[in-house]
Amino acid sequence: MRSRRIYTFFSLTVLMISAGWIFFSRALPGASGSEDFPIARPGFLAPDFTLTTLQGESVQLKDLRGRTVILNLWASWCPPCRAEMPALQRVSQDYPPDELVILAVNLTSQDSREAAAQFAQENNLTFPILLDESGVVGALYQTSALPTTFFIASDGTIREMIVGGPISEALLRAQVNQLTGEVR
Amino acid sequence: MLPILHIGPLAVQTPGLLLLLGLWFGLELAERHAVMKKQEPGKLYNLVLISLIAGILVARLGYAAQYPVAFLKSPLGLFSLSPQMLNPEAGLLAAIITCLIYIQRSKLPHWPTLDLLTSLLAVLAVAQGLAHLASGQAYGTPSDLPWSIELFGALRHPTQVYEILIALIILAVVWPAQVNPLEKRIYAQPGVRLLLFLGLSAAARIFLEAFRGDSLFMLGGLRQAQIIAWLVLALCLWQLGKRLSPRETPGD
Repeated sequence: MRSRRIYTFFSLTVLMISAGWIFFSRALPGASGSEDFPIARPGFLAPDFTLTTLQGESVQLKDLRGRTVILNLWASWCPPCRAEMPALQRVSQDYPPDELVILAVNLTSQDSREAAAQFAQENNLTFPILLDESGVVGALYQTSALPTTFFIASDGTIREMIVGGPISEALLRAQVNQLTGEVR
Repeated sequence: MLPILHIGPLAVQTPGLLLLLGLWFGLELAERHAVMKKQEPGKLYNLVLISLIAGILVARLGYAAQYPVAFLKSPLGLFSLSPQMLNPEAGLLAAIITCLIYIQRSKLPHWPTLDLLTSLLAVLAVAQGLAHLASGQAYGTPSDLPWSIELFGALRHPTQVYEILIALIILAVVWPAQVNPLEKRIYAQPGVRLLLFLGLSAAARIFLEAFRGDSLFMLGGLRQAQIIAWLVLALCLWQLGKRLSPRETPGD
């Protein structure tokens, strides 16, 4: 009987200390779940950049705040990158441009402008193809494998990062549904 | 951090590879444990395999149910290999239910079989820590302690290392061997090994979650994972008390 009492006392002590620790380690008011400096990781702000499209227009990521952004890093010589582009095109057609923007950043430093343009034309891609000619964005987004896709929420936070491909169309649609649903 | 392992032209996801290795090693250990306890290792292997398949299937269906429009437009997505398209909670629940049904239908002893699975779960916990270390997931909060590590633009608590160390300690505690001092003292009682593993893991999560930078918060700034872990801990302590006390009563 005595050892049962000791066990009960021990259990209650453990639970009280744990509860105290949970309270002590709670987030202070005003703290958010994500960190407010840019790193190419889910939970962080997407690093900003400015690149030009195949048509010569300038696009800055920061200007797209308020919209969901799919940032896809690709090269024309990479088979999974080529395979997933039609799915990206279909998804882009299903959403108005003020809700979803797809940016396909061609790692031109490892590819060529001509090959990127030819691929875009062959596949009738209507979303902006950005040219990363100096490799800055590839380095900024720590691209370890191609393709790499980032899902960026309207507040500029990266919500999901998919390394490798081809990415499933259902996954693209599910992520976009979730992110655009948050804005509505 | 090594999220991708390049082997020739292949880019292998290191976290997935580590979890698979953990599953293999954990199953080996669980089967050895089954032999030690004079139970059929083949049935244990089937139990794990069937529960795993059921868990993965339901996790995928659970994800599809969350986004029905996406899957109606692209139904082939159901068969995609993408690990992001899983609902872990639904999968875990399905795996547990399948495991219990299999135990019941195969007429396996309930708690002793669950005790055998503890070896697998304890190894998987270590593998999960290693997978977190490889991917950078479960990263720590910024810190200026001497052992902080540079990660994602800041010096941070090496939470993945803490996770691996604690999981290794728990694995040592539940390790199935005659040299383990707890083997004859308390593990003879069915269910104690599993409950002790779950209780220790829950306590570890309550402690470690405080240092994590990717916690999900609830009302009042409380961390969701800590609340769930506290409830699991309470349940384990209660069940452990029930299981251990009948043995001690005669001696009192």
